[in-house]
Amino acid sequence: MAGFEFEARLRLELREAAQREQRRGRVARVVAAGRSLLPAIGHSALPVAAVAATIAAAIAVAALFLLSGTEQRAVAPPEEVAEFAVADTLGGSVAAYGSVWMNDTTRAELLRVDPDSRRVSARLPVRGEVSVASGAGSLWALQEGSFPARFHFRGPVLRIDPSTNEVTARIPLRTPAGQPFEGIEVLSAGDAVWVAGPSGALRIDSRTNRVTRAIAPPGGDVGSDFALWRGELWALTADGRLLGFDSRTAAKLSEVPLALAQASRPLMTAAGALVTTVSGGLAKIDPHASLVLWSRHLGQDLDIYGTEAVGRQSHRPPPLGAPRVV
Amino acid sequence: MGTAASDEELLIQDDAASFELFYGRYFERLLSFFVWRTRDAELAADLTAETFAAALAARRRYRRKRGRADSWLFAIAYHKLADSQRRGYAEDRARRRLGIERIELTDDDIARIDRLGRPGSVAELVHELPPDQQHAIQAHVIEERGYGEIATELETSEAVIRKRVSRGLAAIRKRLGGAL
Repeated sequence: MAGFEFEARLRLELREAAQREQRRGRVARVVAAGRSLLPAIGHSALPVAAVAATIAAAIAVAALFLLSGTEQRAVAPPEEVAEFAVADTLGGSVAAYGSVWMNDTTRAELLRVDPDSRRVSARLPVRGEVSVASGAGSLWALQEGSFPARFHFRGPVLRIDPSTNEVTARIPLRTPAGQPFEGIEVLSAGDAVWVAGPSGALRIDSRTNRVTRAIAPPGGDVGSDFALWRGELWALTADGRLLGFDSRTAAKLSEVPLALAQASRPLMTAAGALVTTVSGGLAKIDPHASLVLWSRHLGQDLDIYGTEAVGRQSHRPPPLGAPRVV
Repeated sequence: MGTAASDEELLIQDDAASFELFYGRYFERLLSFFVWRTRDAELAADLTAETFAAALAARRRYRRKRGRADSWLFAIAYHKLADSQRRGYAEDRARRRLGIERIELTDDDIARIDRLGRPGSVAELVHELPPDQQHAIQAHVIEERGYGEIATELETSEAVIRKRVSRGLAAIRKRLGGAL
């Protein structure tokens, strides 16, 4: 911004102000420190990284109950039984094999946390941040990569044996044709393991630890979202089409347009159903009937969590209002 | 303190030169943030000046263990922005306290600031995204905050934030014909 007068004048004003502050001396600084220039920011608006990362040992569960029609069931609220620090900052997590696996993003480690003893029972070094999933008797960790990927993960994918906490395979993130691939998350259900990214998904054969299939939905890099459900891989494209793929062969089994008001939403499984969000609410999809079974307006934008237990970081209230579990 | 110093090191120093270096690193990003959010060059300039003044006055209270310096700066910026939306104008408390005059913009200044948010720019395309994607791109791409930090702030998972960024960038890339 060379030659930008406002920039130069503000720089000069700030320089002079900083010099005046410097001259005020120690006593003046002590007095000044007692004043609060930012009273409304307070502690609650400090950067999130300032908040010690903790997890609720009960493991707070955001249980999503998908009920048809107007049926509703009373749900006891989650109870927090303990709170303890395991890392300065936490990333992706999954509950599996009697533990909670969490990414310590400050130290670039995958932590195995025992919810009973509330201790970290294992630490595995990882490259950057990771997305984690469990399946095929293993834990799968999609790594950001040695060079920070900035937006996506470059791998390799780690396969971890939960009985020994050892990495048993490192799987490069490349298509079967050898092209590099960038992922967003690793998905697993049963023996199926997939890495989903902005341009498609890769299947990892859990018997050979090799990438054997790649799919790229029509429209390609337009923000398709993937979920594994009932033995199939499902993709919801940005233009509102739902595509079903055989999770073993990657063959396309179905493609249907869905009447969703807002496309490019998360696609997830929860409470045995395939669900997505719509503006201000939820929608339940029956892909075999090519139907949006119902959508419900809940008055705010939502993120979906499955019924599996998830570790949570301590937090401050979100800016969009208090979270609700439905 | 030299140009190789980290943002955090610059912020905790007591000298004017260190803060000036910090200012140089974040001036354009902060001004862009405000002009994208307010669509008003003069308000964006006032908010930028007020935010830096508040950061200068409060920097002795900054602690590294509380997080990155840029996150700290943008926490102040968010507060100033929210406050201006309530009031209808940018407050000038920090500037007044430090004796910093309000800077009248020249026509050239206004034109330059307006260009940061003009139609057809990446900023404009970001504005056309759904709010959740806008926020994710703003936080991660513009402010360079980590996925974990954003996810914690919004009480959601990192994967959700990562997807929002990915979808938003894909949509922008598509609009630009793959040029991003």
